[in-house]
Amino acid sequence: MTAVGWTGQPVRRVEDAELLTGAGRYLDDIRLPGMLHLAVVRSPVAHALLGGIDTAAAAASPGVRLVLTGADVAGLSRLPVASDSGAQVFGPAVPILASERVRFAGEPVAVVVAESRAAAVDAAELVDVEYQELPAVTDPAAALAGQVVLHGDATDNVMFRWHQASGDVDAAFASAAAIVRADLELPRLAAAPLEPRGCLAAYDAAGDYLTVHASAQDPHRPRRQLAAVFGRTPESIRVIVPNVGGSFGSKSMLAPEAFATVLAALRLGRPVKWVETRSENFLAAYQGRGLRADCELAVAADGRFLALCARLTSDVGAYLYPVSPVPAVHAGTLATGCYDIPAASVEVTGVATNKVPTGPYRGAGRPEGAFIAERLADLTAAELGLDRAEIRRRNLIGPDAMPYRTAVGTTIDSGDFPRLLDRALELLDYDAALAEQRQARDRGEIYGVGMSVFLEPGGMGLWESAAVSVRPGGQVVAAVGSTAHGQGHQTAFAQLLADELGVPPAAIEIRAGDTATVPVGLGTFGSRSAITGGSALILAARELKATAIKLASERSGVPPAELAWRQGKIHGAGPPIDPPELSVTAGELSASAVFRLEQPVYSSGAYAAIVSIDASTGVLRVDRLVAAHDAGKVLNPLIAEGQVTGGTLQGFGEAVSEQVSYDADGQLLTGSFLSYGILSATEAPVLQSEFVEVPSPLNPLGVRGVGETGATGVPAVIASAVTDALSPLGVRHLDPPYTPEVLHAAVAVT
Amino acid sequence: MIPAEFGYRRAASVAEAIGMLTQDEDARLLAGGHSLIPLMKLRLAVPSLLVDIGKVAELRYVSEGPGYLAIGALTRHHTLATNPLVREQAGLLAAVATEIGDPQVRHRGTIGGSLAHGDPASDLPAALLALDASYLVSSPAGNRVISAGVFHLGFLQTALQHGEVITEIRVPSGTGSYGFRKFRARSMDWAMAGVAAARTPSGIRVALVNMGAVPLRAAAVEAALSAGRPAAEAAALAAVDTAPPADTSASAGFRRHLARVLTGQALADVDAAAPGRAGSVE
Repeated sequence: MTAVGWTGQPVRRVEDAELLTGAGRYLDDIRLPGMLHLAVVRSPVAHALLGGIDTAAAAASPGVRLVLTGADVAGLSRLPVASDSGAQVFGPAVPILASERVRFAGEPVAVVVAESRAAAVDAAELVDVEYQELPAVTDPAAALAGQVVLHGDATDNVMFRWHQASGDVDAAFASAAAIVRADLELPRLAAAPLEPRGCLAAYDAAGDYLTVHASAQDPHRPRRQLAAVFGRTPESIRVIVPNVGGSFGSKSMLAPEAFATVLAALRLGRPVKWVETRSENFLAAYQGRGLRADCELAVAADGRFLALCARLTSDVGAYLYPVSPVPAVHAGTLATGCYDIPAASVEVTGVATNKVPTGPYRGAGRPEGAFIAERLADLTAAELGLDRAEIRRRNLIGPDAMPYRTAVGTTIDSGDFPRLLDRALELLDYDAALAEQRQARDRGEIYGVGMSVFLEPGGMGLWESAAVSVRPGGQVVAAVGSTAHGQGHQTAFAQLLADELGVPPAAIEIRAGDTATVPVGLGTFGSRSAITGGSALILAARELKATAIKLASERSGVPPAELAWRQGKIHGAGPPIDPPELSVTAGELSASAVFRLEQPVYSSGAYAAIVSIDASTGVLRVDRLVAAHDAGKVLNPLIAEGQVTGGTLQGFGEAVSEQVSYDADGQLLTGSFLSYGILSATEAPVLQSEFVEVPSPLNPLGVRGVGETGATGVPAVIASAVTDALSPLGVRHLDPPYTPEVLHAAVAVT
Repeated sequence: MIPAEFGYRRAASVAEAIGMLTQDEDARLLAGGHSLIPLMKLRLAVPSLLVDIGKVAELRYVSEGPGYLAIGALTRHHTLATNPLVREQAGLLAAVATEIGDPQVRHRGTIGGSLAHGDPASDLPAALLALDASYLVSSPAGNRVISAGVFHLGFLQTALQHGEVITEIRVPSGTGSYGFRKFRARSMDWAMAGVAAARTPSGIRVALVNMGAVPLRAAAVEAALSAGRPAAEAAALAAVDTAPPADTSASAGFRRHLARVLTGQALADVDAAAPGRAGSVE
């Protein structure tokens, strides 16, 4: 390492000037010669047998080149649903186009391809589909009871199961001084990225080469999916991810509509573009959360947690995406939270309902796990009459117990949870807040103090690749499998390499998002890019330096130990050598590396909050919100803070206003931003946040994830503060979102 | 997000706009476009022809008429919020306009468009009802004046006949203090419920936003006030004879509760302000 020290500096994002001035290039900005446009015909009903589909009028409509229905995709493979979540999976994969039956309102039934988007949309209205309506089931409990069966003979509608247990749960419950029960529900949420889903497919028949531009989180997973569905080799497919306007997990998997777009391009030999509308994104993009948890915690008289027994039900929707089981299973593995609970039995059941499928959304099980553990901690404190900080201190896993294997079988590598909680409470001035609360209550105000402690495992997938090249004049080109869609890799990865190679960040170009120019990699999800992608880059850079020194030694006869890499050149063998001169493949010197993790890296954090509730309107006001995060070594505090801020706003939205709603017939009620309560900057709480940097021992950078911290810690802390505020009124627990009406009702019933 | 096919013509004058409208039964008038265009993009509105009056300068003015303030129908919300004459003589309208949507909305939306669209969740129609305003309407048959109290017939339905164009909004002079309160979960939301109250020569008038299919007078509140009841007691009657919607943002019951709370606040604002002066608005 040189002493330049770019890493850790608040370098401004180099990405922003382009994106903020409209010079970014998003999927819909890409136009190819001869490009056609695809529009989707969607089911207007939540459950029906498909009768005839008359496409004649649409096919004859001006400019229409192709109409595809379920029959046209029958020959394709379904998306593989074998998940690496560890769940036992039964349910079928999401179809590309429905055949025989539709199972959610908005399900794609046919697609129309035409010379213009307007012509395609017009013609789509002419596709005449006969629906023989069936009763729909939207409530997971009703679905489990088999009132309506979605798939074949699975009369319980179970799509996947997962169970993990260890320790003597029964004995713990038998000996418990108290058993704390909680039935919790986190509603479905819409990821609502600013840029909705879409793709552009082009097929070169002469070279049998398929090029797909996709608004996705990375190019590699889409390429593998396309290869599987179309029975092609990955080498015959190029996937390019342009600038992406947000994803938050919702573009982890290609949309069914994207496969239909590719099929159309293959059939027609012309480029075909599909870009959905906001309405379609609400209807048909997979949603997050949708989890019920039925929990019991066995507690000793001194407040020590003895055993957790939890049954989680995931409202998984009509079909499975490969990632659909991940959030609920993740929630199961994190249900013990940051606490030392010696025994646990956690069951997860994914249930089919007549709604769009669910999948990962920022946090993907982490917020759910934290919500379960933190609600149980608060409820235990209430039951035993103990202070909520004290009950946590008695049960948090101590730093000396690390690495700690939880009763649900996950190993937390490191962390200092008591320190994080103490720091958050210190930032809040917890004792002063409690004193102020007593006074506020005397004045008749509804005033709550809350806290949460949480885990954020990152680095899932456990590997990533990178390649680094140095060109004449010191220009460095790095390619990495991890792909930014808002995370600021261009800036942060350049900072890392600048220090490792001793060149300025401006001399470093980061390439990602194109399978033709980056090595085979995994991608960006679950707070993994700095951990896996950043580490892979550093390994590749070190490999590059070692190669350069070896070659320089061979050429100069100077022993490697007497040579050194400084400021992008090799010193010690006469005049400094420009590394590309050493290369036999003229022009540049390259090296690549794969970084592998043995297990996920755990970030952790603690939030504390003070809220007040207006008794007359139920309006919740956040008076203070503070946080202490252990994200390991912070590469760029501006970007890390941005991640925390964005996640906090999404977490706050989850706590106070976001909720996807359907009516009993399975019709979406929150189909636009008018009715879906996403928040804007005006509603954002002011967060006072700081980083406690404890380097992770599991990667060369010492980093941990940070992308999901706010989304994970905030719903739990707001729940804690709100229930605390309402506790004098006899409220034990409320499920989010804490809308004015919900809070007013809680105040008014007393 | 792509409207069905439609024709488009730009009118240079009110007379020309009326001429274009009367030639086509399915033609619609386009002003700021903030209500109509979204409906067209969702294909909930499918006009055959848009007659764009956006450039008709004769509809963009604020002036003093005999006994009333005259506001051209194309006056934008931003102008209402900032025009000195509006602020002085119809402070309630300025206060309401300040809180409509966001700056982009306020720079495009027009007062005539808001009225003609007839959405009971819009703030301006209720404020105009509280101010006892009337609307000058032109058609091939000539001009007529429709009072605010009979203008709104139902959800998105008004007394306007095809071919009629609102040209002027008339706000009677002599309005004193006022109060305006609306409740939103998010700053850019439509009002979950709202209340506009104004001290007029005939007494305090109170109108409700989003408490029925049309902007409603809170008649029971007004009657209680004119009978000399205290404001708090009168406000408790705010939800009488209302029929608020129930949707994902609030139940009808919560809207009724809000109407009572907000009416109390708006009346306090009316009381707090000196007679003849603008009321305080947050």
